Amino acid sequence: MNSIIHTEHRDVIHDCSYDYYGQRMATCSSDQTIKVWEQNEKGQWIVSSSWKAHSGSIWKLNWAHPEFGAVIVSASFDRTASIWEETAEQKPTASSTPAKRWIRRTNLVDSRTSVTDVKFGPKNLGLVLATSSSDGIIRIYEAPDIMNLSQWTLQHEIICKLPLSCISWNPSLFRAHPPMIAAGSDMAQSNEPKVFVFEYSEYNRRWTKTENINVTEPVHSIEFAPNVGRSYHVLAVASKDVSIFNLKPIVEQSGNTRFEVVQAAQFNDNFCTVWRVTWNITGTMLVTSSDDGYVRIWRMNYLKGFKCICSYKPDSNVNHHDPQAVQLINSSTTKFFKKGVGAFAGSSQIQQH
Amino acid sequence: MEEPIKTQSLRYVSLDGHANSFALNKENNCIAVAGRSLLKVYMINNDSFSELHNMRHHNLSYSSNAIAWSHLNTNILATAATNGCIAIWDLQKFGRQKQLTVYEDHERTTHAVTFHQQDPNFLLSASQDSTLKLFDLREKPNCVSTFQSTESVRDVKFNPYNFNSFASVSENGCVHLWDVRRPEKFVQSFTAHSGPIYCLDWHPTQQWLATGSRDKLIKIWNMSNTKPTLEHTIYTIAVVGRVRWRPDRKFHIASCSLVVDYSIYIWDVRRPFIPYASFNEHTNVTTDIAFKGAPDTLISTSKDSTIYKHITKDAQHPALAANPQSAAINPKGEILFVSKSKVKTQPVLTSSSSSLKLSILSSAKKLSQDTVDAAVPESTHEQFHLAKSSLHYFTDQCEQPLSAISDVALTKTLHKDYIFFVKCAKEYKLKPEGQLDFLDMLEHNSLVARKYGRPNVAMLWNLVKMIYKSTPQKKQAVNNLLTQTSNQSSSEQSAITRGGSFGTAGLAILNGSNGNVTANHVGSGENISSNDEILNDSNEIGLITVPKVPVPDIEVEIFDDGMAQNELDCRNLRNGFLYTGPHDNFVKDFPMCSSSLINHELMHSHYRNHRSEMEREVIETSPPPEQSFLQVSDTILIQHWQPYQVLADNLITQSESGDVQTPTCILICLGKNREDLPIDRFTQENFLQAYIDMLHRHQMWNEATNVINMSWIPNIAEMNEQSTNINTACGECGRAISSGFYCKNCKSADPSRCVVCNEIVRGMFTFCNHCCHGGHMHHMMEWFMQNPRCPKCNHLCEYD
Repeated sequence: MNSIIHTEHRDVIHDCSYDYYGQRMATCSSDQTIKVWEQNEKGQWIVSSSWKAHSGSIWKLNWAHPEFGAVIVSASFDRTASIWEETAEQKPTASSTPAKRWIRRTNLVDSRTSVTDVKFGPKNLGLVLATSSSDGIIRIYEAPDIMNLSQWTLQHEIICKLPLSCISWNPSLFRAHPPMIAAGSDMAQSNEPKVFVFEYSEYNRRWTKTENINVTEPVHSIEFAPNVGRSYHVLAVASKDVSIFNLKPIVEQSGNTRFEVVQAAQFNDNFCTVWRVTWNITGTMLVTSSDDGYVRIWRMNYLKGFKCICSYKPDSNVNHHDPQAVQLINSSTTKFFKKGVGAFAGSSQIQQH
Repeated sequence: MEEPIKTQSLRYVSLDGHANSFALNKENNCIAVAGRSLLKVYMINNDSFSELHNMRHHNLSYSSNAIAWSHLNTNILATAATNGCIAIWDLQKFGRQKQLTVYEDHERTTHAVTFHQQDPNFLLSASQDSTLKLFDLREKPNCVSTFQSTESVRDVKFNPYNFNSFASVSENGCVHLWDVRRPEKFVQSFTAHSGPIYCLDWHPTQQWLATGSRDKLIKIWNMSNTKPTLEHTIYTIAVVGRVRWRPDRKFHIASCSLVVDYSIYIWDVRRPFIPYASFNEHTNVTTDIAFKGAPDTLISTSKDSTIYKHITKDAQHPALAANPQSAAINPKGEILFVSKSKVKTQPVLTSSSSSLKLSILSSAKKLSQDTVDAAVPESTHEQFHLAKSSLHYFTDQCEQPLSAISDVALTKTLHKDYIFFVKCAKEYKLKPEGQLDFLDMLEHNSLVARKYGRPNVAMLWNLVKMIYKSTPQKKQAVNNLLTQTSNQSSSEQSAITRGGSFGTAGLAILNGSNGNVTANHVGSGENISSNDEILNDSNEIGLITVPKVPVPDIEVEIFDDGMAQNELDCRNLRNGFLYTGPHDNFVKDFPMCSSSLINHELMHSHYRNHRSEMEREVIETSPPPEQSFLQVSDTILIQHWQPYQVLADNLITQSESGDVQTPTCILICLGKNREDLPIDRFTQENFLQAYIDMLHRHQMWNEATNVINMSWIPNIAEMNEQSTNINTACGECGRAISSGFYCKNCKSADPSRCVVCNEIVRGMFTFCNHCCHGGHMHHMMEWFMQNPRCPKCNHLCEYD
């Protein structure tokens, strides 16, 4: 079922993000506002808060783990990243529930250029976040006191040579997996590798680059799959096409970890730029959105290959509960079941609607 | 970010100090820069700047804030200094004579000077001393008229549409319109910004006035009416220092900032939030900007002591680099998708025919100069302002609530995973309880998995059941056998052997300690040739006799009834199930890998599907036929039957396929037996951790706690022991209570009384976090059904 949500954003929306439970979502736009949405009883999305958050386009936002409260971080063209916390306000009236408001707890102003992405780290590291900026620096901040969100200390600066466009934490909560960050660059004119993987060494107390992944096209989105008990890590990279890499840790004799990087899959979304990749909770389905306006769902099959099980192009004129839209999803899904098998190489045969 | 210097853009460094301001002559081929102890004129060449005049040796013991070049007389310059002096320069003169006149009318810093467009003798200046002064270059040594403003004046420009009129902006956020003939009072005044206004610029073709302010806004005012109206507002990221309209582009305006931000932006007023283009070359604050007559060349000076000639072709376009799409998926498999909507392109310039003509003219001119430049940015900027996004929400969810879904097949792929996970997490039995013994529990879990559409998971449960079905003694024996296997004592193994000829399949599994062998012969057509054998003690390989042992019920171990009843076919198997062997070409030779049991199952079930009902009857109900004397024609490969290894491999494979639930639950169910499996504790901990996190994400707290409680790994089990403190306070005095519900301060047990019935609560006590009043759960629930406030203190309690 497809429905269009009327956002009333006045410019392009650059990011939408579910909270940890997938019950609320937030959108951010070039119109410098963030909107937080909740579903009503009928399942319709309703804006619960909307506020002007920055003095520039807001590129990305991210929810913190609910353990730390309702906290959003936003990254903006105005070269700052802001931490927002939802607070309950005591209203004097006896009726209704207390009003909720989002309050800026802090503004991270270390970047001299546009902050292109920001992500909270896995919760076992405490309340940490990483920002990437177009000056090519990854900054890692930590709130030493999780009860005081207005105090953040800049823990690390990792300098990459290329302007960065996206960043992703390895979401594994497992203590044997050291903290890990991947970043991508959208620099157009160069053939250098554009995906970097960094790992934190508890022993040296610093981040070191462990891998360059050889994606030479500009990278727009990057995301680690949820680990769900795997012994290796899975990273999806969106550039001209979608690549999925498996990073298998190898402990060298010196005690350093290296990664055996294997390209597990590569597929193109109709030969156009892919803007976003995102994993489902189990890391078995990858959602991609590409320049042709299609959103595609790729599902891992039993051979760990990926097949497109659904491709759908939303029409901005589609009405709510358009039967044809449902039809589209249905048909493509059944098609998947029928096709069922087949080597991964066949994935380029994407059904078009 | 430092960009390498582009072919067309030009950088010039060797200024002696930085320029505060610059001016272009009317031909736009010379630039005069003014700053602290700096006054120079450069010729702008194609690939360089060449110095024409240097007025440094004049009396420049002050710093120039502004400079203006006469629109009519190409040799006349005016500078405004920080000490208030206005100096007039004639470039034709030599040496010290260049400095024609110095007016010292202003008492404080002058911020701006500007020449009249029509009359070459008129010069206007704006000063910190709240005055504007009009000079006639023929009249020396004083100004001709003084305009008294209300606040310090930051910028002034003659109105190009009314030669007697000019506009000024001041630090109190007001715009004043003046008539040169009426210096006593402004004609019009309006408050434009909430902070000081630093700059203004008249639109070249429209009666629009742009103002830039410390409040980070650029506002465009329509001045054609008697009352100015706000046409557009641009939201910039820093204090606006200068604004300049872009020639031939009706909606474009360039700006730079006074502090923090070193970039120059070109905005489209119709898209007020994101600049159309940006130049990021400067490494310090940009002090002044101006278009060099044409729309594609922008000159700028900066505190980094450079002059730049920027070409718009080299500009960066932040909006193009920004991702126009986004997608998100939640644990339920619902997808959000945002994409930039394509809005139909409208003819942009219809509203202004004059500028349309201009535009055509100029682009034609440009084409002759630079064909590459014309086409590309033209098309992008035409559409630039038309940007909106649409947000889509996909859900596979049925209309029914979760509990009402009986037919799992109804739900679709995305949602199915969610249903399966949630239902299984709820319905799996993880430890034997009551009537349910170990095997029943496995059976139950298998049924649950099948019920929600995962026969492969069900099969895995059955496999576990099969392995552990034997009685403890027998299990011990199996273990012994396994030990032998691992010791590589070759001939005395329990093993499954298989041949690989297509169309024949058989399966036999050793069960029990005494080498009882069950062979289940299945064949296609007439030839019953079972290639899968059990090797018994000292049996030889090659020609095998299967002892005619009547099969006791308990020993029948070929996949149990449940499995047989379930019409497993390949499609079901493939739906998400991972096995390591080849899949659709299992007609070929099997690789004999340790986890090839699944291949057996697959083959087996596949085979069964094609088997007639009667055959099945016969085989399952009757013992093997007497004459079953097996002849093996193919070479027999011996596969060591290592059930624990097989199971472990399958669990790992299952987890790698994204299903951590099944292996974790199986490990939990196995209890102590899990030590049989060759899965190290790190992996086990990872499984548990991941499963618990997934349960949390699905908000299944009870199930998660249950798993934590049953965890055998200390790190996980400790999770339930963290953050278990709840701090309580006395409802009477507000002091913290250290233990129990006895308040040391009040010396009473009143805090433990129910505020509704006033009895001391035994058992569960519910209370408000804020006022610390509470009582019996049911009393509080009743109370708060009707009242929002605390029964005791009228506090607006927040019970979730």
